Amino acid sequence: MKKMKNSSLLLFGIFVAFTFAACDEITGPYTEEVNVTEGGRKILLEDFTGHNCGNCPPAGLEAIKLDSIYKGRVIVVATHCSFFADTNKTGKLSYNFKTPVGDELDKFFNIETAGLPKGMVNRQAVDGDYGIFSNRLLNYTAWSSSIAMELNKKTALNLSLSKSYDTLSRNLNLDVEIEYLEKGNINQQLVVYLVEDSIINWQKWYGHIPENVPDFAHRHVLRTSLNGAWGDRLSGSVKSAGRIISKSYTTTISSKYKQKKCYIVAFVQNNLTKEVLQVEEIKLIE
Amino acid sequence: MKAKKITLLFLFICALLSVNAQNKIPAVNVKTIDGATFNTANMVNDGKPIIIDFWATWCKPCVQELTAIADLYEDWQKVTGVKIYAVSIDDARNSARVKPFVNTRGWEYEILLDPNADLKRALNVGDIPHTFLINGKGEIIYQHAGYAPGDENELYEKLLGCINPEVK
Amino acid sequence: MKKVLAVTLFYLSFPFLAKAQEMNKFGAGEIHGNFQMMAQNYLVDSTIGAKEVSEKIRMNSFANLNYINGNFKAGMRYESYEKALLGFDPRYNGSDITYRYATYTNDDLEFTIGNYYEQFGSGLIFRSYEERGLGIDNAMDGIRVKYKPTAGVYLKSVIGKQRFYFAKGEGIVRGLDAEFNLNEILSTFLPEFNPEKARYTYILGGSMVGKYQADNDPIRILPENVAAFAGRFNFISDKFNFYTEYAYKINDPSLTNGFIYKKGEALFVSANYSIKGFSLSASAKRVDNMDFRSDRNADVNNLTMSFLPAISKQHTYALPAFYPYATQPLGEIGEQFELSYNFKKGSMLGGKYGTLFTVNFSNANNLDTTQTGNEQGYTAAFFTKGDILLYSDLNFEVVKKISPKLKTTYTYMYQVFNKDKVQNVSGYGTVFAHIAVFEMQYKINSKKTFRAELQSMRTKQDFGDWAVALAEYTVSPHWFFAALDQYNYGNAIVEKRAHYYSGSFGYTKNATRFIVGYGKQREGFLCVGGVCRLIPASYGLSLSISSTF
Repeated sequence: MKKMKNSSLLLFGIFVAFTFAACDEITGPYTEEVNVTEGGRKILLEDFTGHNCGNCPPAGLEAIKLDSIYKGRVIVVATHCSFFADTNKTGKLSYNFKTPVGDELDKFFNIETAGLPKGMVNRQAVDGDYGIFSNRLLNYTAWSSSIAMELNKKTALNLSLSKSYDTLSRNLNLDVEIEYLEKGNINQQLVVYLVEDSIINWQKWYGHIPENVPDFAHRHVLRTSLNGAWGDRLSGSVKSAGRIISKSYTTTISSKYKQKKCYIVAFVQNNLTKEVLQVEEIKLIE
Repeated sequence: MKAKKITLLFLFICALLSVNAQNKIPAVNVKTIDGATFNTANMVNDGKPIIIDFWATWCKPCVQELTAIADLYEDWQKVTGVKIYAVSIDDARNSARVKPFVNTRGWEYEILLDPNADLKRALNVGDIPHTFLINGKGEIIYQHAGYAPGDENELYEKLLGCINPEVK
Repeated sequence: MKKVLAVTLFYLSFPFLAKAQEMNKFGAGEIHGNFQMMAQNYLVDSTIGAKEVSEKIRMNSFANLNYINGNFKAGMRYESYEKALLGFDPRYNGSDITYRYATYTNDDLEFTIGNYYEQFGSGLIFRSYEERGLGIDNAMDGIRVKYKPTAGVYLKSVIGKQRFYFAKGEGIVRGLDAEFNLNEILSTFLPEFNPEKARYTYILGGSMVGKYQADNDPIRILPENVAAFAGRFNFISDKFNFYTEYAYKINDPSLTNGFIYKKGEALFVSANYSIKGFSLSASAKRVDNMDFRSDRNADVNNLTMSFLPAISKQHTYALPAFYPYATQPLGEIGEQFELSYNFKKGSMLGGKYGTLFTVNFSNANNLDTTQTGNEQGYTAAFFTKGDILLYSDLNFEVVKKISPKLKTTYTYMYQVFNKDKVQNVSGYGTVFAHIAVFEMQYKINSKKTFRAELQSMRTKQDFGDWAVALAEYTVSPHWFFAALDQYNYGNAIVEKRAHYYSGSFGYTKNATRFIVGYGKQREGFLCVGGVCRLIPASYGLSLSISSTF
């Protein structure tokens, strides 16, 4: 017993030492040069937001910052959803940013009840657990770390997009080519979104003067999907490395959208875990 | 994974069914109103019964119950020699309020503080008020959750019952 | 899989342990537990804003099992949310074993592996606790050692990770707490000194807590190890009690403080004087950038390490509790006073059965800050208040027993509640409310009691005026029946002047309770202790069962 007590005292000593030694006082600099590693992997950053959400603009600014730091490696989609995206009948905040796709994602990932702003980086779960307890909704301050870790992962497949677009008829022909760099899972989906950038409209912004901003630039707004919220299944049971799958889509872009500001975002996701494996974008008009 | 865990739960219950339930008070450290650390293994009353009542300053029925018993406590003590421990689960917000609260009302109970609900958890108490009656041998023989005016009469009957086992 | 195996071995070892113990003089162990279930069916009601719930019925339930055998304790909790009741975080989803532990105590040493709850001092820098009714549970998972090396010295150390819904938080928490009861220590040197008979008691305490979370942030340079320290002092005499605790935290940039690198601190002082029938108490608190969590990206009630409850009085009636104050961990300064007097039986104001009078005042302001424009964020004056009033309330309560059968309570309260700042919303401004409550309790006979409450709140802001009427009839020892109507008669929007009526009854036998309720629940904050959660409006039938065994 005596021995046990002595060892426990030792344990206390170790704890004390640990806690004291464990002090990282930062006196500056507070930021570091971002080291963007080379690689083909691109990251989908989804920003769930709403024009009634006064705490959301800082998250949007974080997305823009990450977009510019990781030029071309991070692709941002802002999805307006939940009661924060509900509209007034007339006047300010009456523009409807909601989409059926956003509603479906909201329901599936329980976004409304978790509260906004929230985001997902490649729809990755925080601890890699994709069971029913999976948790992938991140507060915006956690996005950058998550992106940095995702960028270090191996590229599973290459996505290349090519299009032909007629600005008068607004008809779009889109070709998607998927090239597997390593063996692919059976249950994969290809999802194709239409995104419109810089829509000027009302936004609530706590701490900003005025609080209701009439000419807020809503960036990267998800408009619709060319193939539903969860996309099309990629045929073939096991996709061996080197295999190439091609898909084509034809659609007419609604005149409600400014075609100069529109771009297409396509991504491949594991349909069981909803993890995004690769993402690519292309502008309607270069 | 889930099914396995449920099986485990079942196994756990089966394993424990073979165990006798004796109902002793678990030994947990709480605080007295004078700041001293008090181990509940030391809840003794010279072979006479003990009542443990979980309460909080913000819990209305708890205060009702302790107020009702306060008027009767002297008589109960004369007849049965019972000692009442009123365990407050008030957290840091209110724990400094407990002593003035008790003194103003003139309660004569032994007051204990359980600010992080350690004793409450050890006795598997859910919502408060929750009352335990412990006989002279230290066995829990009766417990009651909630309070409705008049419940103190039932508690007193049980208390008499544990003094004279023939009175039920 | 490894985890499952470990858990299996852990539980399968119980009967063997019990067997081994049986051979000893300790005898067999004991098993106890409790069970609680709450279910609600949801109907749509557009006037109160009760939305459609696709599952129609939702249920939260849990069961605890605890095994004790001599010095050995072990237990577990099974939780199930199919799906979580409205107002609970949806990340409570599904069923699992969420809590399991084993504790071994030997003389002055206690060892716990698995989950545990712990608090250092008043919790300024560390409190791991559960409030099941609010969905709060930041239980530790790891190891805890408690050790009493000599009389009057209490040491505790913890290491582990905190619970985050059905998972664990990222940060590793390490902590150490020491408490010195000077009277007890003295008694070891002076055997004739009896600490229990001392007129004055002095207690000193100190704690330190550190958290580790990796810095994977590509942009910011973040402290991976953040430490906090706290010291406390308590003086107790027969009539007087003084407690103070101060806490300090090194740079801890986080989501909630906007990633500033400022130090944090908190000071809590409380003093009270009480004799039989009279008490006077005062407390003050200053909190500055003291939101301490084991994950810098956590928000709402998740992964909190610091516990900073409000010091204002905790109200129990519905309308006084309508606007509950919650501490602003990023910055607040406030104080509270209470005087309570029990007019003796037979005195002029006491009447035949005595009268209990209480007056209470509390106040909280923001800090007086100056923005620095750099990573430090701001500087704050220590003793001066900021000019934004966050909360204030002045309340009087008189409890008067008129006859052995009839007891009445009168409450009046004036409240100022800065809704925008406290609830982090905008456009609501500050609510000024006058609230009055009358309560009577009439004992029909030794078993049957009738109780009624009439409450009124007058305010021009927010939802406007409210009136509440409650009638309750209890038959000891088994039954209760209650009817409640909350009427928002002063709502500026005429269509929203709704009645929120509900009825309930319950049956209690020993430690088992059944409660059935039906009616409308207004949107509002449910608070237990000092912590609140927002409950959306709902309408429907509810059932709750709880039992301790």
